[in-house]
This record gives sequence, structure tokens and C-alpha cells, in this order.
Amino acid sequence: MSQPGGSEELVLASDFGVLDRVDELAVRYGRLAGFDDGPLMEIAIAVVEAVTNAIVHGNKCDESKTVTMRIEWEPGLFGLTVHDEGGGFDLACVMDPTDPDRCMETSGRGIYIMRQVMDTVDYEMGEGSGTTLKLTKALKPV
Amino acid sequence: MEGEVAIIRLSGNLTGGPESDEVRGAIRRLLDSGARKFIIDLKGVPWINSTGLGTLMAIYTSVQREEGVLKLAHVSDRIQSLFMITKLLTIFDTHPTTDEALAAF
Repeated sequence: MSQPGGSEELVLASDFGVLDRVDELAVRYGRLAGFDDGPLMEIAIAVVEAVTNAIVHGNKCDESKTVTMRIEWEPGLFGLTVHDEGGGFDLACVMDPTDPDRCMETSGRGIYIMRQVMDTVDYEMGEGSGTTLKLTKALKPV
Repeated sequence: MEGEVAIIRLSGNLTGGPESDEVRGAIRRLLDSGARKFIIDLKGVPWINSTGLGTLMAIYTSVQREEGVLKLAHVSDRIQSLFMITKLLTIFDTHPTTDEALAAF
């Protein structure tokens, strides 16, 4: 009998060492939601980027700060919420990494990547309350 | 080294942690010793994130600046997908195997 859905929440250290587990969970729950092949890969890519950004840009790799990650899934739908303890940022200042003048930059691609592969990418920032990112992806009909 | 080609074999995911510093340091030392032809073998690298991609970009730029050549071998489907998403597919010279990358110099 297929499962109706579920969720898992983790509190992660601001350390790149957590990313292997993050990836495993993304693949596990993406598969449970019914994704495979390319779309499943895209979910894993986006989830890793989301947590990476929270560690690097949100928490500034400060090991005293944590990243909270929650995956929610149901048949045909994958959702991720990531919260960091950082000070937020100005979305309008996020540059296009595919701009010819910027394409050789060594950073700044995370948000672009998530926007390319997920259906929704939404940020909430509150003064002193960190940044929350929500991503969703729905199975496309064949 | 294979003749004048330096082959760097990586293992584990490239995510911008200490492993990224190690590979950049290794490339730097090889450049300083006069090496100008490089193959990074990604057979042991299932995936990278954008920070790991930044590491590859930095290496590419460093090698180019010294008029060297960089090739990648054994690029996984997921890494290839990341190159496509970020429109960097034409930047990196990729080959299925290190032998094919060597033959392409």
C-alpha cells in the first residue's frame, strides 16, 4: 500500500559535512513522492543548494548556528523548508550568474539553480528571526 | 603524472569544504612546478554543489591564466546536469574516461 505522505525535520550543524545526509533524504523522500530520473536529480540538486546557502550565506559557516530543514511529501508533490539564523539579504541584489559578465564567477549560483529546477522558490525574512526558504516541486503529468 | 599531464583523482562529493581547498592547493603546487596540462578525474565524485562548482571554476581560471589546459573525466550525470542548468557546459572540456581525455591533448 503506498504511503499518503509524510515529513521529516532535522536540525543541522552549519558544516558541509551534513550535505551527504541532506542529499540522501532528498532522494529518499523525492522517490517516495513519485519522482525519479531527471526530476529526482533536480530535487536533490535544489535541496543541497538550499542547505548550502543556509550554511554559507545565512549562517556564515558559524558552527554555533544551526540550519533547520523540513521535508514534506505526498504523492506527486515534494516540499522543502529551510531556516537559517542569518540576517537575511536583498533578493533584488541577486545577480544573474549566466550574464556573460558574470559567468566565470566562482559563486552566486545557488538561487538561480533552485529557480531553474523547482516550481516555487519563496523567501521569508524577518528582522532578527532568520531566513526561511520554501521550495516545492510537483510531478508533471506524462 | 602521465607524461606531462597531471591527473588529479578526486573522491567524495565536492561541496566547498576542506576537500575543495585541498584540490585547489594541489593544482596550485602543480602549476608552480611547471605543469600546464591537467585532467581532473571525477570518477569518485557522485555530485557537487554550486560551491564545488565554484572550486572547479576557480581551478579552470587559474589554469587558463597560466596558459594551461584543463580537462574533466568521468563526469557523472548529476554533475553534467548541474553544468547544463548553470549554462557552463561549454566551459568545461569533458571526456568519458581519463584515457580519452589524455588522447585529446
